[in-house]
This record gives sequence, structure tokens and C-alpha cells, in this order.
Amino acid sequence: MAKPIPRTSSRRNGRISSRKNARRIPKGVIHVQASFNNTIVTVTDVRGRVISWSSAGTCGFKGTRRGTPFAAQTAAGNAIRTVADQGMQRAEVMIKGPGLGRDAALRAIRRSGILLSFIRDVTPMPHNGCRPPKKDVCKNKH
Amino acid sequence: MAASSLSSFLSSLLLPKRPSPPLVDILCLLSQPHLRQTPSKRASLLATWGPSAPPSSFSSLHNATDISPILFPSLAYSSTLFFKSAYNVQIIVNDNEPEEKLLNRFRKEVLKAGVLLEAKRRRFFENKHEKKKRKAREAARKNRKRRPLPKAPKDIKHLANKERRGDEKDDNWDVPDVDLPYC
Repeated sequence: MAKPIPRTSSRRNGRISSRKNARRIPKGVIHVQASFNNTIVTVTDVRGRVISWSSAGTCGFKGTRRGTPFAAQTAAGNAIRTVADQGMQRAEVMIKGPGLGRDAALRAIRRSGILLSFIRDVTPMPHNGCRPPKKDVCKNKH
Repeated sequence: MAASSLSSFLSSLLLPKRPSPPLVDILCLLSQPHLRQTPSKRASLLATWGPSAPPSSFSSLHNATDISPILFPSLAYSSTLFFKSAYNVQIIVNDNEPEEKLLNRFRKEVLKAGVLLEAKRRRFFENKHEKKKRKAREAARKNRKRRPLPKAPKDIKHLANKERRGDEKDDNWDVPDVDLPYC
């Protein structure tokens, strides 16, 4: 039996480059999804690969308190803190969804000291697509 | 030939992720009488693109966007299609802009685009009856804003006052001076 020839597989290289310490990204995109019940802040690079994320739920808020603007503020602050160490200077902000967390998260991002290049609203708008659920009659009964 | 070179230039412009240079460059190209210079111009224009291009060219873009829909009707919505994700509202942040001013600008743009209203409306299904009611309400709001006070009621008020005075004169409010049996 011949000795197997050692081959440097491309897979191994891919795994090494995905280690967090190696990546220094000067420019990124901050996605803020602000729904009525929660706010999720995701920090990605320009291509869309996620670096870190944080939400009102992971910050310790539960239930109705997750939808408040203060929770959105802490979530945004949390997400940016982990990324500021990696040396991100410029960022774009993409805000999605209605919700109270929109303004609060934007404020927190602005205060954190990261330079903002664009602020975009990317709330998805169907061109009359799927039928939304019926009006919430059950809520009033409780 | 000039048209084909222009179209190829346009296609090369639309690939990278920069909104401001294409419209500005197309306009300065058109202002040039000699289109033979396009190859050299193309190179110089491409050279001026850098990561710091947007802030300086934004002010010039403002003038360009006023006439660009007329010149290039198909490019009217190019900004929404230019980026990978279509967006509803975009704000380019200037340096050293105060926080509140930025927020207010964002909120105003969102209000103008009607994003929140639309999202609220699409949250639950509305049947024909609800839709009619909503449309009637919106139409009433629009009419109220457009026509605050029509002129007609002023004349009517004048007439009404005169009539009222006349009536009061005719009316007999005084008690007749007669001896009443029971008072």
C-alpha cells in the first residue's frame, strides 16, 4: 500500500481564515430588525457575512420589555462593543421593520462613535403578495 | 458607435457599488461635444473613483438628480436598483452632523415615504369594508390639508347676522302692560 500523499485541502484553509482574531474589518454593515416585540441587531461585513449579533432578548429583557426603545438601545450598544474591538470605523445602517426600536438603536449607534456612511430603511414591502393573518380578535378576549 | 460606447460605459458604471458618480459623469460626458474623447475620459473618471468619492460628489449629484429623470427616464429608479438590496429610504450622513438633526432627517424621510403606515396596514388582513373606510379616511385627510377654508361661508355669515338683527326687532320681547289677574 502506497503512502497517501499529503494534500493541503482548501477546506482547512477556509476554517483557519474564519477565526475571529484574524479578521479586522474597517467597514461593515449594521442590520437592525425592529419588530413590535423585539429588536435584533446584527453586525456583518460588506458582503453580508455575520460578525456578531445581539438582541433585546439576549440582553436579559423578557416579554413585553423586549419591545421597548431602551432594550433596543442596550442591544445596539452590546453588538457594537464586541465589534469596536475588531477595529470597525465605518458602518452602514440598514433598518428593517416597524417598531419602537428604530430610533433608539440608531441613537445608540450614533453615540457609540462609529462613523456612519448611509442609513437605509429596508423594510420589506410586498407588491400585494401573501395574505396577512386575520385581525387579532383573540387578543381582546383575554 | 457613440451610442454603443455610451451604453458600454453605462454598463461598466453600474457594476460597482457607487451611486453618485454615474449620473454626474454621464451628464458631463453629454456636455462634451466631442465623443471621441470617451476612452480617455473613461479612464480618468474611473481613476477618480475611490472609497472617499461619495461625500464630495453628493452636492453635485443634487443638481444632477433634478434633470436626470428627464434625460434618462429608464434610470429614474436606478438608485433603488443600484445596490444589491432595494431600499425604501436612504440617507447619506454628513460629517459632524448633530445626532438629533440626523434622527429628524431620517424620520422625515421615512414619513414622506410612508413606510410605517404601509407596514401597519399590511400587518393584518383588511377586507373590502375596512379598505373602503381607510381610503375614505385618507382622502378626507388629504382634502382637509389641501383646502383648509373655502370662501363661501363668510357671505352666509353676513346675511345670517342681518337676518338675526331684523328678527330681534320684530320679535316682541316686552311684557304687555296689562293688569293680570293672578300676578
